[in-house]
Amino acid sequence: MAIETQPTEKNGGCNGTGGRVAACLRHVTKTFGMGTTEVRALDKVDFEVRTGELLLLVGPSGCGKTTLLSVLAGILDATGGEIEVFGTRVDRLDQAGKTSFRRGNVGFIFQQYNLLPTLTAAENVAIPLLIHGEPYASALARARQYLEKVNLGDRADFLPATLSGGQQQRVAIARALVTEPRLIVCDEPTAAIDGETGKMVMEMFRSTALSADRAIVVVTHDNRVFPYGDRIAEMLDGRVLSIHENQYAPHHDTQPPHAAQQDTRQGGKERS
Amino acid sequence: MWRVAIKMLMGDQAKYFTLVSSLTVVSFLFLQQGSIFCGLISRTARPVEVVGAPIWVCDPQLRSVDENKPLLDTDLQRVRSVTGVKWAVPMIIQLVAVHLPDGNFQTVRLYGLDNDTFFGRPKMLSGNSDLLTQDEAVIIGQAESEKLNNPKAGDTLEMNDNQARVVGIADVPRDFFSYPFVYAAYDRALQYAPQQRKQLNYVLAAPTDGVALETVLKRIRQQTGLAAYSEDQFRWLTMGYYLKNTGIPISIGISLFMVFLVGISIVGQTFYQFALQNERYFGALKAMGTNSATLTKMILLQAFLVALVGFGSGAGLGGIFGLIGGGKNSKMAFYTPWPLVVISFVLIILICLMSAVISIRKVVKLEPAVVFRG
Repeated sequence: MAIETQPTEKNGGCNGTGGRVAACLRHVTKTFGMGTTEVRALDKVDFEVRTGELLLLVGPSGCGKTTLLSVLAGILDATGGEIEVFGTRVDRLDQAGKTSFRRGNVGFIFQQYNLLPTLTAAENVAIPLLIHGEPYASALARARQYLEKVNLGDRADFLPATLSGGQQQRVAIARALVTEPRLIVCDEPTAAIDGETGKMVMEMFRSTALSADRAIVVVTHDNRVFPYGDRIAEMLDGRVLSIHENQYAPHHDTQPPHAAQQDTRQGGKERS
Repeated sequence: MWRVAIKMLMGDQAKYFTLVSSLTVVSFLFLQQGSIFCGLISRTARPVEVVGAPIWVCDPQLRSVDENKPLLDTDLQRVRSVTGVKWAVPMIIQLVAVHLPDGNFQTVRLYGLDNDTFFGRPKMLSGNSDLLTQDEAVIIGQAESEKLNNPKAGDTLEMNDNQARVVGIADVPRDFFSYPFVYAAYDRALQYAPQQRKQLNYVLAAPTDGVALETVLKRIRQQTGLAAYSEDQFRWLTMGYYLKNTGIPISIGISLFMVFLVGISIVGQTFYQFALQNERYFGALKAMGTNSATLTKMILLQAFLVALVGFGSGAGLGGIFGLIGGGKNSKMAFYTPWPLVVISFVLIILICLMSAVISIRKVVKLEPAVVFRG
């Protein structure tokens, strides 16, 4: 794979062709530390996500995938550049504004699920609704509906510890969807579950989450996930090298590259 | 989100138990130590309370009921002549040594009651206080009477080389010094008390109906030059003396301060541990759009909940302790006035608030991006 030092219009950037732009990063930089300890996690990144697509963000460990995801979702402040999500300049919002923005627009799926262990599956799914101020009873009722959508209606009153990894991730999917957010960000959603379960989770995720007015960004090392993306963005050393159509999607008739080439560890907990 | 907060707290049973049990112990110690302090101090005023006189007239230099600064006999008439005084009677309260049959001496608090009215007579458990009119008649308070070998009606005692005959046993509470109380008619008490030039200790009085108590007190002070107190004022004068002139407040105060410090230390550490161990969950909540104000309220709710449960448990234990060991006639001084309960509750809330602030700071400063670090 050729390494390009500057993202071109063909490979990425806010003027990418095809689809409506849901989110866009323009010349975004993120540095950590200062002086001799400064680390440039994102280096003038241009990046866009379209509505109606599931975009995979891939690259070796430490290339900046999670940082990009965090900046896009508004949970990490960029050092420079512009971030626009569904027409809102997120980089211009203060912390309260970012919090409010996330509440109404962003759904999260975490690698470790982050389900509150003392709440039932239904209560976990209801959390985003409760954050919105919805009354407990109606939030719980809606949560149960979303658990039905991910085939966990009969596990609504179970605690997370009594659910399998795949079931917990499905609960997390339901939680991410319950407020109908327009952007869903996922960090290694299949890293903590086995192969078959991972495929099942991704199939369910794609079938329930993807819609014409929603964008999904998935950070992953897992090549089992590759067939489920519409486009793939490749990163290296804090830069987006390319964003291209996913040749591993089922309609492309190609197989994902070997795991060794992608620095992927199956079922592991890689950090980006 | 308050349900989420409560479930997060109570679901972590180890932390919840640590918090509640710590606060239970702290509450119990606050109330127990505080009650012992209040019990001890309030017992200093018992000699005043058992009399029930609306007005106490005494020497202006007197600092407590246990001091002996006698008045002139003529002071009685002077008080009676003050406008607004309905009645006035003399009273002796002195410490006297009783010579016991086994040769030992026991100090008692002797009350010399007005010969005509016996004002200040105690409530009787056995016998009749009217029998004080009889020669050598005395009444013994039941509390501490074991120090006089548990006398009963008909027994005799010796005070100041004069014989005294028990005609009744009275229901009087223990005082601070644990002296037995002995009651006699005024003239008889003059013989039992050590001889001195002046022996009248107090003039007890009451205001005329419709005249304000404070008005009468003021008139007595102005016209006689003596000190005049209401019962409550004289009680607090006595208690204030012991608060200022003994080590009781400092000793118990230091104990309570140490309890407070230990409470903050344990509860603060536990709350902080709770925030640390739930960091990723708090981060997830922040990522999902929970603002700092909501997270702060959640933690404060958790703090208030454990404060309530811990204080309730501790107060309950304190109450049981008081029931078993306290009481007006028990050896242990134990008195729990309602301000003590309120103060203890406020201190518990303060402990929880200060502890919660530590974890609130942690959570508010938490970057939501921590959830993506796994």
